[in-house]
Amino acid sequence: MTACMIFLFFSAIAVYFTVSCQHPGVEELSGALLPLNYGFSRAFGISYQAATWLTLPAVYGTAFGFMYDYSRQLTAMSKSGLMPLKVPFQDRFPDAVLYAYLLLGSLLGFVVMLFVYYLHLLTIRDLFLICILGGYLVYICVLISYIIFQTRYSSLHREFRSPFGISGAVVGILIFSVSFFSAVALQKDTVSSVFLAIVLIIVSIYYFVYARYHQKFSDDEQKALFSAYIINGKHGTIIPKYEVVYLTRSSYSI
Amino acid sequence: MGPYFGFVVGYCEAVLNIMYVASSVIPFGQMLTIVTALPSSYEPLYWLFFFATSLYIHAQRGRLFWGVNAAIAIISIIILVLYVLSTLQYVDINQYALPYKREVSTGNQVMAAFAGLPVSSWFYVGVEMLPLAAFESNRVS
Repeated sequence: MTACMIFLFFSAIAVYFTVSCQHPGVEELSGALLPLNYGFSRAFGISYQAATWLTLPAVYGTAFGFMYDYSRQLTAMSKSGLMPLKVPFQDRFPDAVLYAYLLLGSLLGFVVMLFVYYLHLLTIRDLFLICILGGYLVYICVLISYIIFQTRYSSLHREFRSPFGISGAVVGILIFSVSFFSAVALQKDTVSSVFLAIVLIIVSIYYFVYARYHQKFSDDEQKALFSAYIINGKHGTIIPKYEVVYLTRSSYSI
Repeated sequence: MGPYFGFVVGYCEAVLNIMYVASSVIPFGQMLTIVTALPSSYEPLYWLFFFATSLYIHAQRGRLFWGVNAAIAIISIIILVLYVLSTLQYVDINQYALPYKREVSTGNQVMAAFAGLPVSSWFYVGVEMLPLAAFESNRVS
């Protein structure tokens, strides 16, 4: 995992440097569909069309990878009683939940794409901004939870310890907060922030009307709760459930 | 805020992931239009192709799923390294990167930099799933 992080860091810098410092220049490339094509065409002497083949695996792979992400995410929420759908046969087929939410996430994505393509209610740029706004909120909350766990459950076993500690988390919160402000207030329009706000209002209504009365600790959360309960027992405090949610998430997200 | 806090974060992450897939598959369709030189009206079929193949591989899980992941990663890394190494000779900061700064002298450069922050966030998106992927990929039977 650490090797992957380091590779991502250096490869991102290398690509940013090489792409932005050659023809046709940063101004044109910032809005290009395939910014690497110019370099491929020049370096290998191939057409723009042929160069497109070289970007296809990465684009397929990135979308493919995020399907993995939402299938696990929605399944975890379902096991905590936070999803509106009750998947049938999950007692006999434990994987049914995962498959159901993999399909549901894909269907939702496909519907959004139809809205973009046929109805023009959203643009690809809007989709990206919605995606990144949701991401900023997640990153800020995960970093806050990191600080809570570093201070309140410092002796909890962790697979990975950030070398930057709490100060790194604070810097991250600042960066993502400024970025969040930029995505909301400094863009050409507010379609993406309005869309995300509407989604959050709808799911909030769902939560206060239904989910709050049906939420439960999943098996993973119970395991995490048990560890944290023992550790926190020394301090004589009770762990709020939202911290347990992060404790569970922290086992794979921090 | 209690559990509601975790609930909202969960849905935000779901929005992030689903929107990311949507915003990647549309360009995937546009790219296939470029390479096939067919009308762009076929793009929804390319989306269906993507979802059909991806869902099948995801549903198989285990060795096939992680094998495809590894294959895509290796191919992408090879292409990326080839790109960086073969285009280094064309890098010219003064000619291609700096004119942007020189032309924008209206005093809004700081605001322009802040407005561009979401684009730079492409570097971070999805990295939070790396620990889970590393965990699961080490336990493939």
